[in-house]
Amino acid sequence: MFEKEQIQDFLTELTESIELPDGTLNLDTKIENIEWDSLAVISCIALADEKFNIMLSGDELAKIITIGDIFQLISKKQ
Amino acid sequence: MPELLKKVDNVNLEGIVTCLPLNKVDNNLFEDKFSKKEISQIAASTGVKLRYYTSPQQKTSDLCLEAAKHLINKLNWEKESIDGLIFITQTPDKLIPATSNKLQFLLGLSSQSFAFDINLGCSAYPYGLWVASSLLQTGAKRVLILVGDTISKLIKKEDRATAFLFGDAGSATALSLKSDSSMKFILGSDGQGSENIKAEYKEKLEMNGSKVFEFSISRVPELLKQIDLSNGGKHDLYFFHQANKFMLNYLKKKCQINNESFPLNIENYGNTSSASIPLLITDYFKNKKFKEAINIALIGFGVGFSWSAASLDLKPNIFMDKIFINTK
Repeated sequence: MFEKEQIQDFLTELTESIELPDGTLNLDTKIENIEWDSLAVISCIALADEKFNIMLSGDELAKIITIGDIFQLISKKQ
Repeated sequence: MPELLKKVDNVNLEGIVTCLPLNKVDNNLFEDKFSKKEISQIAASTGVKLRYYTSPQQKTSDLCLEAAKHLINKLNWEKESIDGLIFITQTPDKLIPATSNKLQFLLGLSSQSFAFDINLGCSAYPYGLWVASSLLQTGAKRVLILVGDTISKLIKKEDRATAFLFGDAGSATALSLKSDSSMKFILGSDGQGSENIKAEYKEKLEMNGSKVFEFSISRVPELLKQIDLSNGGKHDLYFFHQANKFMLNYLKKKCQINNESFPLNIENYGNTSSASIPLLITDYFKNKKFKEAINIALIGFGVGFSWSAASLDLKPNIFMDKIFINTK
């Protein structure tokens, strides 16, 4: 499971890397409502590697529906 | 499992010259295909502001030929003393024959010298040094390695994954047999990734950026660790293949390399594929003189997938230069 701070820290950095306004992302944010492009996927792979030492794949991240799904993917691999 | 280290003795790096076409292209070129916002986002991530493109008539061999002429001239090498040349590219002048034969002729080298092509991209330069230095152990005394690509000819201007990223460049490197120096190499390949950067016959380049990123961040840190171990510690400078800025910054952080030891020039030239490492070296040392040997690591990774690392010393008397040719 994740600490609240871990989730917040991840979301803050992801928001920054994909240049969204602060506070845009939460676990329920739907991918279809943001610009979830290849740059976002790569930022997400980098953050999961850096913060949790987990390697996510572009294929997995292409299928997610909400931002919360990223943490589901990470916890499955932990 | 530790990666297999290859050590080659009696090899000296005499000089490197890189050559760029004088057609500088900024990101405004893409304004008919992308919005200003998209351009600024892609540019921020890839880190590329400028790149140089050859003209439609110019080939990879034109860049490497000029680099090699300049290098041979400055080193004062007699043409007859050169035992052979290796040309490494993914963008040869023609499908058949090998471009190296034409280069050997245009450089005026002896017909007794060997000439052959190798097809490698991002990992080309350390591979080339390894092949050439190995040939020096079997009778050759002077070998040229010509490495370059003109990826601009394979780009779809509307493809955000590749359009902004690449530039053209060529290089020439001279190696000679000398008793007091050596190089170390780690080389590898994983063809499972072969579909992730590719150009089919008569088609343009395609790249799966996230797969390339996954490969790079899982492979390169271990490669770096092994080449540092072989060196008995960190190197003075790390010359990485200039893949894209986001990836390079991430690898720098993950591999714990400080800014001063990690030159970057992708901003001004784009990703020049096989030529990016020699271009980075000549660019970094332009107008810099040094009195003692500098211990450097060269790290190539990408298309194939293929990876390579070299560990060597740059001596103060090495000749390095960067030149331009007109685009006709």
